Amino acid sequence: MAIRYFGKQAVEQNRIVGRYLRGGKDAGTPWRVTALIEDLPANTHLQFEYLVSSNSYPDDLHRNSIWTWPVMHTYLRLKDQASLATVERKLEQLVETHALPQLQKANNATNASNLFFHFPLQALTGIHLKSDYLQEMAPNGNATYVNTLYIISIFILLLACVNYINLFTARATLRAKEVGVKKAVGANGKQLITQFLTESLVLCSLATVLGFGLMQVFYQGADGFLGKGALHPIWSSKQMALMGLGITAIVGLLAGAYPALYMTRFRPLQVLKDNLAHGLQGSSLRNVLVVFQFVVSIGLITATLVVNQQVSYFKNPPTGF
Amino acid sequence: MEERFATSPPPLAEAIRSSIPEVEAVARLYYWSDFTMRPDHNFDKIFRETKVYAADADFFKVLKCKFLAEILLLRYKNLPR
Repeated sequence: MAIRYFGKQAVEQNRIVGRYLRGGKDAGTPWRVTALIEDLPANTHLQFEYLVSSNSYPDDLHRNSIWTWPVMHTYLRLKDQASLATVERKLEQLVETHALPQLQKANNATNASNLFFHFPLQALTGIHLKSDYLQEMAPNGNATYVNTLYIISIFILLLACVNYINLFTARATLRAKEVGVKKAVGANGKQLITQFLTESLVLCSLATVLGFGLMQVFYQGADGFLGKGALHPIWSSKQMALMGLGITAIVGLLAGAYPALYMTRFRPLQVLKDNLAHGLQGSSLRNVLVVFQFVVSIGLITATLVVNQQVSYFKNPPTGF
Repeated sequence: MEERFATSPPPLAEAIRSSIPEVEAVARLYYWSDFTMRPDHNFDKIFRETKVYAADADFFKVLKCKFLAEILLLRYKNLPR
C-alpha cells in the first residue's frame, strides 16, 4: 500500500509518515499519513486497506445520536478482570435507556414489550465462523463445514489405525518366531511392548513427514483455489506444529497398542514349535475391526457419491424442454 | 421480523465509554467509501481505493497492531482539511 504510492525506497528509508495523499470527492483534499502498520494477515476479519480518522469525517456521522441505525462496527477491549455477564447486563441497560425509547417513537408503538433490540457481544476470534449477520466486514465461514471435515478426518485417521492393526496382526505369523526367540532369550513383556510401540510411533512419524510433504505439494494448488495467502499462517503457527506432534503420538499409540499386547502374548514354546494355529485363534477383535473398517469406508464413499450427485444435479437441473 | 446486524448505531460507543467501566477501550469502524487517491509528489499516479474505513482514535487500543512508523499525535493537531 505505502510502496504503491511512495515506492519501495521511501518505505525502507522510513520517509512516508508526514507526507500527503490527495483524494476525496474533489481529488484535492490532502490527507496526511500519520502512521504505517504492517500488512494485515490475509485471513483476518479486518479487511481494511487504510484507516482515516473519524474526526475528519465530513458528515459528523460519528457524533450522530440515532440509536436505531446500525451503520458501524463497534469493537471493545475489556479489562482483564471484567466479567462478560456484567458487561452484557450493562449493555441491556443502555438499550432500555437510549435505544428503546427512540425505537418506540420511530415505530409508533405504544409499549416497548414487543420490540426486540439487543447488543450481544461477539468475540473477535469467533467472527469468522460463528457470526453471520447483515453488514459483515468480510464474508464469513461456516462452522458446520469445518466441524464436518474435522469428524471426517478423525474417521479417516481411525480407519488408518484399524488398517494398521489388522495388517500387523495378520502378519503376526511372520514375526511370531522373532517374539519367541526374544522371549526365550529373556526379553520380558515390557521390553517387547516398548519395541512394538516404538515401531508404530516411528512409522507414524514417517507418515507425518510424508503428509506434511504432500500438504506442501497440494498447498500450491489450494493457494490459488482458496485465495492467495489463505493457507500461509497455518504453516508458521506453533499451534499447528503442536497439533501435528500430538496427532502423531496419539495415532502411533492407538495403532500400536493392540498389536504390541497381542504379539507379546505369544508363548515361546508354542511359537517355536511352529504350532501357530493355537496362538492366533480367537481374535474376535479383528473381526470387529474389519467390520468397522467396512462400515466407515462404505459410509464415506456413499456420502461422497450422494453429495456429488446432488451437487451435479443442482448445477445441471433438467430444464424440462 | 428479526434482523441481525454485525453493525451497531453510532452513539453506542460513547455510551459504553461513559457508562461501562469494565471496558478498557472502545472504537468504531465505519466503511467510508471508495476513494481516488494520489500521492502528493506525483499526480499522475492515481489509485482507486475500495477498502477505506473511518476509525476512532482508540482503535489501536482495542486492537494491538505493529506500527512500522508513526508520528506523535501532537504534531497533527492542525490537520489540513
